[in-house]
Amino acid sequence: MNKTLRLIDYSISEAIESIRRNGYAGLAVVSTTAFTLCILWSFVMVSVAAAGYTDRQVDRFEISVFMKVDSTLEDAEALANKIKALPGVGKVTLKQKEEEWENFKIKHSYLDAGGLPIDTLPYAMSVQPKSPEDTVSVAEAIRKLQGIDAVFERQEFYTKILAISKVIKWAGLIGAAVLFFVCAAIIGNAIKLSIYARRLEIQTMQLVGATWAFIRSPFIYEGMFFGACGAVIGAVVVILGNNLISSNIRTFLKMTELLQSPMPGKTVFWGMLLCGVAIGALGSLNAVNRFITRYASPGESVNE
Amino acid sequence: MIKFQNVSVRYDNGVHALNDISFEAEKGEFIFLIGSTGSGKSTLLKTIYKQVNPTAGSIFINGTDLGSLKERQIPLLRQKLGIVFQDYKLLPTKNLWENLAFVLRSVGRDKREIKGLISEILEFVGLAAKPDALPRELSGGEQQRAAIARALVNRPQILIADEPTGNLDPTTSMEIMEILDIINREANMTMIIATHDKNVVNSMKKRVIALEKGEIVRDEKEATYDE
Ligand SMILES: Nc1ncnc2c1ncn2[C@@H]1O[C@H](COP(=O)(O)OP(=O)(O)OP(=O)(O)O)[C@@H](O)[C@H]1O
Ligand SMILES: [Mg+2]
Repeated sequence: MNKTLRLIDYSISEAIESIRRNGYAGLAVVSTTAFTLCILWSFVMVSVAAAGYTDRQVDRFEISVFMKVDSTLEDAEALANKIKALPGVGKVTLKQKEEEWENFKIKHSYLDAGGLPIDTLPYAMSVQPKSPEDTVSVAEAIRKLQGIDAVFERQEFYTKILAISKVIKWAGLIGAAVLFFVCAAIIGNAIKLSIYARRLEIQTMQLVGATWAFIRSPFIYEGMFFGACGAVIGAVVVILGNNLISSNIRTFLKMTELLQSPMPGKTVFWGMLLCGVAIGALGSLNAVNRFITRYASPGESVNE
Repeated sequence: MIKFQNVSVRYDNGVHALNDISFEAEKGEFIFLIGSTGSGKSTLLKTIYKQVNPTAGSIFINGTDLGSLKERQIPLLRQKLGIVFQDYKLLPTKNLWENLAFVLRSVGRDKREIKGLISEILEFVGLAAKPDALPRELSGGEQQRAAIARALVNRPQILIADEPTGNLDPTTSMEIMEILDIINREANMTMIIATHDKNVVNSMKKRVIALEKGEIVRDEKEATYDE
């Protein structure tokens, strides 16, 4: 075995030893972690759902531009280029007049369209803003251009929904981030106690020449273990809860289009595990950096 | 090998524990550090493994100035030293074997290697029969020997011992000194041993450095406890 493997081997067995010694205290940490991670992940799922919803709404923010009836194809192409050059404009599609005409005839078959000449239909184009928020300003800018008969945008209602879903998305993310740190603090506290319980050992280790990594890594592994255990338990709860909710109110959610499909169990499991391990590592690293020198500095005796 | 150059230590509370200490120790030398209580013996030893830093002067080990060591180099220094602490510092929750193994593991030694090193040293200090005993299940002399075994198990270049025979009866004290003497001769290990023990010092006839109020008042080869 090389030195790194020995370090890992040593750290894991020391971490197991420490967890064994902690007993019920460890159980408390794991269950608190599981609980916090459940809420955290719910926030993540709500946020992901809201973001997905927003993405699916983007094409609804199309702006329809109708030109004056007497404009020519050249006018239309020139206008299309002008619109393209406006700030915030994504895609501009010039509608083929013939195609539109056919559509028009199909849609309005009750009218006797046969007698109408094709030229009664104006050139039209659809404009997609780069981001939905820009719809109004882009439409306003287009209205100021020459040769336009009418500009329509379907804005208000969707803007409101979008604003709400944006708030939900960010609130979810912020909530998740807050819980991330809360959870890291919970695990960090457990590691702090573990460090305190082993301060004599740590002091002695330092005096006999144990390196930074050998002293600290057992605690990091311990924290990661707590995080992983909490995550696995939490993931089971979230997956079960997810299935329960979505089978009961899927129709409702489908209707509101908030959830197109629930997050797959695999994603939940690996996502939460990764999250839990990261939280454990962060929390314990912080505890180790703060408390090893405070509780177990061998130089302490200088000031005793 | 070890060189003290005008070393002084002044603790935060204003006590001058060491005052302008200078001496040199050759490789393989055996030195007794004597002096009444509070004379600065433990402080001097602590400066060698950097638990205490001099407030003036410099200490060199194998030519390296300890004052120039970075925080992360201190473990490497200590790995070259074997330290017997005045209060043993055996881990109360680990048995004898684990107390030695943890030192070797925490400095990154291989598992198989560890087994051999521990068996050998326990045999040598006469504790081969008690690897499973917790420190509190050992007698004072056995704990002392356990502490010595732990200091020696990583095969250090220098042994630093703070009263390794304090609280022991004269016979046990002599046994322990004989152990150290054998290692000193066979491994050519440098040894600095702080002690109050007149008998031990007088029977060994080694170099003696005497401290008084933090100053060296005598440094003599093949010496006895009193002048
Ligand atoms: N951590 C400390 N903080 C402040 N003063 C200290 C500290 N350690 C020791 N001293 C003081 O420094 C002086 C020397 O102490 P030291 O422990 O080196 O003596 P010693 O020779 O080892 O004594 P003993 O034989 O009792 O072990 C004493 O006056 C002691 O009170
Ligand atoms: Mg002392």
